[in-house]
Amino acid sequence: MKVSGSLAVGGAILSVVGAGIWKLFTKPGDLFYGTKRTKGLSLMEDEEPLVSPYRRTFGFEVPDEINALDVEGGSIYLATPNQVYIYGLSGELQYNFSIPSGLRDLAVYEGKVYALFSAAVEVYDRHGELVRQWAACSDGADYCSLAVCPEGVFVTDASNKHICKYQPDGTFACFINSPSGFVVPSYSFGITAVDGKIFCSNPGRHQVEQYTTDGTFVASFGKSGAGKGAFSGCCNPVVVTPANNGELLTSEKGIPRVSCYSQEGAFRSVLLDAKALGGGHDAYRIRVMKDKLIVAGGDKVSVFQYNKQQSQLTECGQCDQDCPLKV
Amino acid sequence: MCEARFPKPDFTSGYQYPDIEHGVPLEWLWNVVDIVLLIALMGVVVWAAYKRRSRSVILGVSVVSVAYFGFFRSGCVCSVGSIQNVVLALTDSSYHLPWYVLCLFIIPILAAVLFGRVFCAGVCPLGALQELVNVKNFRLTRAVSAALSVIPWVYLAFAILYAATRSQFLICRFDPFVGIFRLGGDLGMIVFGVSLLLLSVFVGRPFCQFLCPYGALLSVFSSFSWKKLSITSKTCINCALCIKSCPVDAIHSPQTSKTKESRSAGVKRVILFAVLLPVFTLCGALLVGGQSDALSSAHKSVYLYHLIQEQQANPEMEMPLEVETFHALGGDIEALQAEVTEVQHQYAIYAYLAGALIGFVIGLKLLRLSVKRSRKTYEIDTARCTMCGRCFSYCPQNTVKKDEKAL
Amino acid sequence: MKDKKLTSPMDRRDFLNKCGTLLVAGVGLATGGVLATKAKGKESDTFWQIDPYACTQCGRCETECVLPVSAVKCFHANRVCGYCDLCGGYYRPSVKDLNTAAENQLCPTGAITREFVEEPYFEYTIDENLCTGCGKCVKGCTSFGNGSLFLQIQQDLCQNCNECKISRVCPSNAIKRVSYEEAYQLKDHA
Repeated sequence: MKVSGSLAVGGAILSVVGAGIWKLFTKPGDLFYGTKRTKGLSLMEDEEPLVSPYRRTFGFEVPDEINALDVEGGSIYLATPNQVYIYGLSGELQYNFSIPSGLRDLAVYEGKVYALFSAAVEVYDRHGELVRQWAACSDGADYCSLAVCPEGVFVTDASNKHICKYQPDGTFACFINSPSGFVVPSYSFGITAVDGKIFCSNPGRHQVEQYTTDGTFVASFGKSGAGKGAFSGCCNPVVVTPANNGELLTSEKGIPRVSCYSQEGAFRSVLLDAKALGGGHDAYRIRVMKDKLIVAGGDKVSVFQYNKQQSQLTECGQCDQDCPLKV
Repeated sequence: MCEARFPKPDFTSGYQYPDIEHGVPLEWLWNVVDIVLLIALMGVVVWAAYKRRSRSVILGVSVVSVAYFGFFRSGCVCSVGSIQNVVLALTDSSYHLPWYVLCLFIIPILAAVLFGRVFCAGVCPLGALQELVNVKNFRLTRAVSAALSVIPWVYLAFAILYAATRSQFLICRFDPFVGIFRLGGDLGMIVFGVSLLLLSVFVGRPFCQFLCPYGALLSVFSSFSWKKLSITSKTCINCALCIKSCPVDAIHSPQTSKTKESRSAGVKRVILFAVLLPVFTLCGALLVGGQSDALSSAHKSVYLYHLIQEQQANPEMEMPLEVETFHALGGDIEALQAEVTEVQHQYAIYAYLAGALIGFVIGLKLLRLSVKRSRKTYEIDTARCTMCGRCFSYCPQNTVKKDEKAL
Repeated sequence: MKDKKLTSPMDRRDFLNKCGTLLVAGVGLATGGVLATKAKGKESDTFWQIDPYACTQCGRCETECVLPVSAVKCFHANRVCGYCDLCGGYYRPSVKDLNTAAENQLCPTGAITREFVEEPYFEYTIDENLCTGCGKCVKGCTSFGNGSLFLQIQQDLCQNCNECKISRVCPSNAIKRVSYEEAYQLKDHA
């Protein structure tokens, strides 16, 4: 009895320990890192799979994280924390020069690179020579983005919550305030100039607002929501940029996507959804170069082109606008 | 990488940001109480075992220990686990060892050098818990006991391996009683703990005898203790009443060798030991060390690396969250590969050492089994004795003393 | 002439035992000495801390803590918050009406409450007794907003296990041992 009892107990203990040791040698990962939650958290309950009408045709990587993007004349201008890189459309580096750190946004106009810092604007030529610079005109300025057009340089101020207009030579022109007030919870206050009109985002109110170059408010559009045709989260859109026919492209954060609206606010289509863009939750920077979409996020630049086949079931395919992107 | 600033909302109503208080942990003073109580309780056990030979005092200490160290302090950090902290402190210079963990580790060891396994008597909450539920005393056969007694050393070797390579705290992962003390935790471990407790109702101290790595360490120190516990202060009359009382089979019966062994036989035996022991050690080292790469998957980076490789080989498989996070945070595969090589190199060294330890211990135990020590009376094997105090009341010499006093 | 000769096995054993005692005592004291040089007082690493910037909101803080209700709670860094009406951490992304109805809220236990401050700002507060540390609001706030909601270990609830179970399975290795001074790593900037 004693022997059999001992053997039973001993056998039980040895088998438990033996099983543990066997697992240590073969699958230690299961033993130590097994969890109840194997998938991450998902906020969107029903994710409708979106087919993007645009397809990624080309892409390249740059040495550092991209903070700003602009295009002009067939060249792609990128700003990383300390450098400005100028690439050709096929990804060949044309030129690069160094700039001070802390750049907020970049705009290229008539061959000059306008670099926006939190309280200053610096203008460089393509070879990195400083041409002009001026400091912010107001105290406590925290600049976010800028747009350059013949009438002047328009800069959005996230802390003072207005737009500051400068003459092309840098002298202060005027402040532009929104009739309902700009609500800017984070540094997503995009602005662009097209055909003598200024379009900017009022991110906290989910609006895209239109002004004349003198600063008079014209109109606004936009609504809150997570579905297409609306602006999600708390502060969207981040980027507003025009296509060559004047239609407005917006880029959002949170659920990264690029949408197309008319200047009056009619929603056209979602051009690129989160999957096509590459995921994450930061907004992707986007510019239009004739018939291509140039998208920058992280340290990657992607070129997207309209794909007739993919667009058949999307609003883009049904859209009757004369769009230069749809070739 | 933190964001520098955010544009502040322009509050016009004079809104003030609220001040938020956060909960503070238990006073640091409790750690001092822990160590003071540790020393005090061990002192009480020494007095109870050596001077009074009273089991009831030792049981009282067990109750205090289960209540304070067990349920109040949740049985964590304990001396058994402190081995890992100490090993980590020796190999990782960036880890700051708390002084009270050091005390938890070293004080019972020093007490063992002086008086034997005083800690195991009733001060260790795990041992005390088993002691309090132990009713019957079903002893396992010598052979089974000897076989199972290798396990604590295996446990110790692996615990040191994983702590030294900064992979895991193995003892904490498989602590059976902390779930009971904490009243919550991993279901598997609680089931294991409850089963061990049920077992300890009729088998004495199963965790202490067959699993505890700290016990293995203490047994080395207590086998050379300065003061050795004896069942009675008077001379042993060889009545053999005590031997059945010990739950861990720590009382040696007298052995007298009938014939004195010849010198040449003795020399041959020593040479045999001198050859066999290193052979065992080497075999152990090769067996475990040869598997060091397989063992290294216990390290998180190596595990992640294997997951990435597996995912790259089967892209249609669902991506594990670890791999997804690695890529989302911009993980550098080459840096990970370099780290994995470094970790596996460390594993190679420590796995050989761990295997050598296991081999050495197995060899030593086998050789000890074949050696017959001559002994004239019933003696306590201080390496195994957990000072529970059961034997005191069985010895007639102890009761005689009381009767004499009454007279 | 020698009086005592170590002839019987007993005396030899005694001598070996005494040597052994000295040896182990020496080893014990030496180890203790070496470790004493490494031991620290208040700066010792005994507390667990989540690095809120490394956290990827996987949700394991809620399920893997050994306690029945996790010691990880959501904290709010008001100074980082944008005080938005459509809060990314408060509302579900697909919310239609911006009211306090439960089906619009991300938080499964309703632990976030909001209070109107002034147009268009709302102050959001977390009730720690209801928070389970699931991280959904943190994920929403980090994706859409400024990331002012973050998960951190509440030190009066945390048992300070020798090895934190959550830290073992955290996919971004955001939990580590620190000293008490560093235990609350917050996102607030004054």
